[in-house]
Amino acid sequence: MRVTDSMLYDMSRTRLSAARTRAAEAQERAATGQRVRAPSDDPTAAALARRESARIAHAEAALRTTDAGLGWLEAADGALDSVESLLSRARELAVGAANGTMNADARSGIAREIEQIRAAVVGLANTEAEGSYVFAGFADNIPPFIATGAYVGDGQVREVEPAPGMRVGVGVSGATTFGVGGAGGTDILATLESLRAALDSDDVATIGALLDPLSSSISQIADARTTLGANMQSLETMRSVAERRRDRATADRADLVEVDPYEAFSELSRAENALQAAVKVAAELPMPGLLDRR
Amino acid sequence: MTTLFGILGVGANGLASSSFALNVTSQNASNIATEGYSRRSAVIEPIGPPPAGGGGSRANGALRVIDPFLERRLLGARSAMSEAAARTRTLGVLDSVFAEGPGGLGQALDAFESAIDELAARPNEPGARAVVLARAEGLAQSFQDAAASLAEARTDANDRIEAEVGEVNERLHRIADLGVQISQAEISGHEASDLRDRRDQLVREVADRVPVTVVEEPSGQISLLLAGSQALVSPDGRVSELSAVPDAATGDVRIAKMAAGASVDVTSLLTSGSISGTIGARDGALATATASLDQLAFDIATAYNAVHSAGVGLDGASGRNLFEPIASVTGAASRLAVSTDVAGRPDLLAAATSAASLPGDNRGALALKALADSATVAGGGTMSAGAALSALIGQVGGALGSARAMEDAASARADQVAQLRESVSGVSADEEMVAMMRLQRAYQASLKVVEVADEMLGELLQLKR
Repeated sequence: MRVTDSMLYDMSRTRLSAARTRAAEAQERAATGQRVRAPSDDPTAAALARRESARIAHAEAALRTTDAGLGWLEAADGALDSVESLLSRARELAVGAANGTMNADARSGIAREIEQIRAAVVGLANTEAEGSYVFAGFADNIPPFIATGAYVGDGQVREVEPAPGMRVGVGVSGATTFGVGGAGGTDILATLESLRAALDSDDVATIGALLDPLSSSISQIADARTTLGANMQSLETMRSVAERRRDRATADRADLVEVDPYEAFSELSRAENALQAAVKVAAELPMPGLLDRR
Repeated sequence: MTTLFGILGVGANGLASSSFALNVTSQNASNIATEGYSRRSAVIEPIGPPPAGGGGSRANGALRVIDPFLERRLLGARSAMSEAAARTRTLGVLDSVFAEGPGGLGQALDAFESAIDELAARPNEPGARAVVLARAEGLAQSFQDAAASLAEARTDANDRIEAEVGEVNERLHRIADLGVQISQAEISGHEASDLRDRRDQLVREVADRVPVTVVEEPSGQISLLLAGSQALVSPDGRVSELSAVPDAATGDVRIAKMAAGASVDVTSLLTSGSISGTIGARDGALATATASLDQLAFDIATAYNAVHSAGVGLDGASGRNLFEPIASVTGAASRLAVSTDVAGRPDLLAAATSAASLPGDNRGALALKALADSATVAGGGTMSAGAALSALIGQVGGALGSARAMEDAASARADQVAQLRESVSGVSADEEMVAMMRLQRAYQASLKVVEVADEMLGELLQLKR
């Protein structure tokens, strides 16, 4: 092939421009650590990376959801733990008071303690965590129990969905747990109130009759705590599932769009060498020819 | 009969033809860097001895050294390259519109879905409600921004097509004018190589924009044909201009041409060249991306509205939209906006399903949240919004990526053909130097002939002394 001077310059220009483009790309990759920064860099990887980004966002939302749920469950469980101890204490006192040897003054003293226990149980039943009264159901913006022991919550249980289709209650029904609002079971606050009244009126028979309702109150609370524990267990599991999902999606996205630093830097040095070579060749132009003849 | 005076004449002819050839060589040498210049080769012919001729040599003009087949291939290769380049240029916007990043569609959708998730966990938290509204606005904004960028790219494409049609027409007239000048020059026996070079360069510039073929007439005039059939320049110098006609309905520019007194749409004849590349990108990947984006915006608005209007706000009322209802898919992305039903009123977001269960009821929010994973929101009820966006990203990335690859290939091919043409028609400094030396020798030889003849004549004249 006949080679003219323009061809040499053109080829050199093309080579220089290609080498410079390659070096610039290699520099950018090494500097940013990103292989895919726009869809056209690698359409498949960009599309898959979008899915992974969405997975990361969903997993993080699930983590926030489980954290909030665990917060409520723990608050409810803590409250019921105290309620359980208080009820045990109340039953111990009732057992003592059911003994015929105790006098009326002593029973009246116990009545004061039962009064305090009842007030404490009402306070615990009105436990609030993160802006929600945990035993109020959906009506969770106001305390569900008023001082008389009447229930103004709606007895439902809010659920969260830490994974698609999987719903976990973030509490227990205040109505079922405390036996109010027509939910059946033992009305714990009413039982305590009856106990106080029986103590004040020195009615040993009634005190004795209240021992069974007190026992079932304790098991009612224990049952509720079992549910709470199971739900906490579920949320803990979902929490670690979401964590794993987030970590895996993060790693998958990195595999898709990020560069291996070792590869990036070796490509950078190769590209820079190629550029240097192209520059050197271009600097040799024009090639020796007859024009150089003396 | 040969005379000494005749030999003097031979020497003079030789001097004339050598200096003509040297002139051609110096012309070549000074155009060594001129784009589109085809090197000239001086035609030196012998002149028969008397009595047929005066003897010696004469210059019979200078020929342009070109390979017509290569010239034709070059036109095709340049058309293909500029088509691919125009396609890449028009589709370049897709990368920025669909790139992952703050304010991008992907992150806006993620943020919106996460906000709804948060609302499902804390339905009575005013902050969570406000965030849902803000993220919905952000999502609508990013759809609007994307739609605006795509619309702008389409407007740019139409403007560019119009400008390029103007450039083609301007060159067609110059080609026709040059044709007239060339035939006038050649009829009166003048050299028209420079005019031909200029005309060839103009034809190449037309070929960059529309596919053309050249048919050379014996007169030296050319027919310039669009797509091998429609005459743009006739041999008699008539020009048939192209026109850019905006479509009445879409505003998209199409290409028309006058043929037999009527305007004919020739858009489909444009199979290469930058105008074809721009039109192809505009009506192809750009239009597809716009339509997919509109469909996605429409699907999101429809799906979220359906669920949201079934739920109830903190005031206990239902039937409110989350997004402004969109009547038609076309242009949906540019119209996505938070509904006036709930705009500025986070308390009206329907996180609940029952007016009796306020404010802690999160079942409405859970239903909204389920849409993020629902496989029936987008794509004609076959995938979630996130999956549709991911598919869209793959689709636009593929379109732009393959346009880039095609541009690289077409550009390499055009470079190669240009090199081949340069190899035939380009000027080599070495060759011209050699030619100069040879012509210098030829000139010296003719000079010697004159000198010798002169000496002989002198000696002859001295015989009489």
